[in-house]
Amino acid sequence: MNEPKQALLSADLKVINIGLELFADSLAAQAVDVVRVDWKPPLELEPELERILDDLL
Amino acid sequence: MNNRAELRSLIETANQTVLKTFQDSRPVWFDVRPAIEALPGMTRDTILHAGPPIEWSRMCEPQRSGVICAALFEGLADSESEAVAKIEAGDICLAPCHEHGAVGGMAGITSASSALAMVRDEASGAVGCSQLYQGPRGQLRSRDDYDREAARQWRWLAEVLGPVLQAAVRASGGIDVKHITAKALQMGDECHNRNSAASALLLMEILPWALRARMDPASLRDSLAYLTGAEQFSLCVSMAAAKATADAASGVPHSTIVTTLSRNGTDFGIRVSGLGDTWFTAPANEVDGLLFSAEWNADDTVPDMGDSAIMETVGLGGHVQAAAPVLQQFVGGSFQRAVQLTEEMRQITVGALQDYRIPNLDFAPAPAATDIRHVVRTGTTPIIDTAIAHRKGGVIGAGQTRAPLDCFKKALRAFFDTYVPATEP
Repeated sequence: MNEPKQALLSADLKVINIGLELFADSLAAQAVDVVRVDWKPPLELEPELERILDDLL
Repeated sequence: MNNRAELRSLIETANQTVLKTFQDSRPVWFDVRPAIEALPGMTRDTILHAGPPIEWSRMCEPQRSGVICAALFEGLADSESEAVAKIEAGDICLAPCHEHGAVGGMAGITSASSALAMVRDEASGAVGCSQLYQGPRGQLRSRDDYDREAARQWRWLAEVLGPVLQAAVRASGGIDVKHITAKALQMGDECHNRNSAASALLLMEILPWALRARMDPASLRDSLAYLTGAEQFSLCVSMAAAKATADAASGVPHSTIVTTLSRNGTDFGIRVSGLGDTWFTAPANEVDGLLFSAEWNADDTVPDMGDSAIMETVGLGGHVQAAAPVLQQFVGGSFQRAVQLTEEMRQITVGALQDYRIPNLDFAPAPAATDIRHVVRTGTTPIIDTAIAHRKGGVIGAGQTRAPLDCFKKALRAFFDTYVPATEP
């Protein structure tokens, strides 16, 4: 039961960082390989602006 | 094709027209003249300011004191109280620099005798002007000291530096600003907050012509001493060039591209090519940055101010942050952040400037032509590199800020109302 968790701790870390760069920067500074995914939560727009953008974009 | 698809197609075509105007622009510095001669619609009793239009009662302190200084300097009033009375009565007219073919850094105060750099976009014929004024530093002890020093500088610019530069620039036959900008980007400038390379290059261009001009030796000596120490001087010329470019790109029907980004220390204002001269405003943001002395703190500063965001308008400054990572020191940033900011700007622009390359990004072209649709869709607004003004006047720091999203939302609603008839479903 604990084997996978132990393996995780003993193996080299492979990290995917989604969003905030701060976490990736911190790991990179400790020589951990990080794949960075540029993402942020979608902006919540007023419904009227959503409709306008759907028409214009 | 349905109406919406047709409109989208018209927008894409119009935006490519604006982008091409940015790309094809060939700004040349051709003259220096007093504002009364250089600017359309300028009068002896008009005082121009940076940013969107603003009532006297809402003006921030540096602009108010600058306007009063200019009124006294131009002989429009004999005392501060008389100047204020004339402004309130409308006998002294206040107007944005932008509405008279000009731009002004920081408070942007420009009056009839202000010496202006004049730059023509040879591709379109549009002319942009910018005051030469750099302003005293903010370390002067009192408002009176500051005002006296400002008036002394204004007089010197109008009577000494202006005529020397006028003679040199006219003798040169015109100085190619695009060439200087492209080179400066290769040398660590982003041409808004960092102008060390462009100012040196500009001085090299001016120097031989200034020496040949038959100016009196004292004026020449003082002017060259000033230019040698004025690391940000080229910004005046770059801003005039950017203004000419932006004005050439204005008024293209159906275009959603921003042609003005500007601030008056109270409001941030934008204009959009397809919406003509209409301003869309929102409260100006505070500037995140470094103050040059420990004697100041955030309470001493005013929010974002100046017409210098004309540089971001045409795809320089914050848009090419990766070209000048050294500026990240003002905001505790990093090289990676500088790169990220330029990549962010690519998400809200519709193209790039092939003549302006960023060495740190494998010579990728500068992202340009900011689209209000992409700004609202992503929530990412232009990053603005800027100086920080003391509320009593003077530059006391530098850093970065963002254009407020609300300007873009207002512009988008207005665009829809303008181009989609109310009768359409």
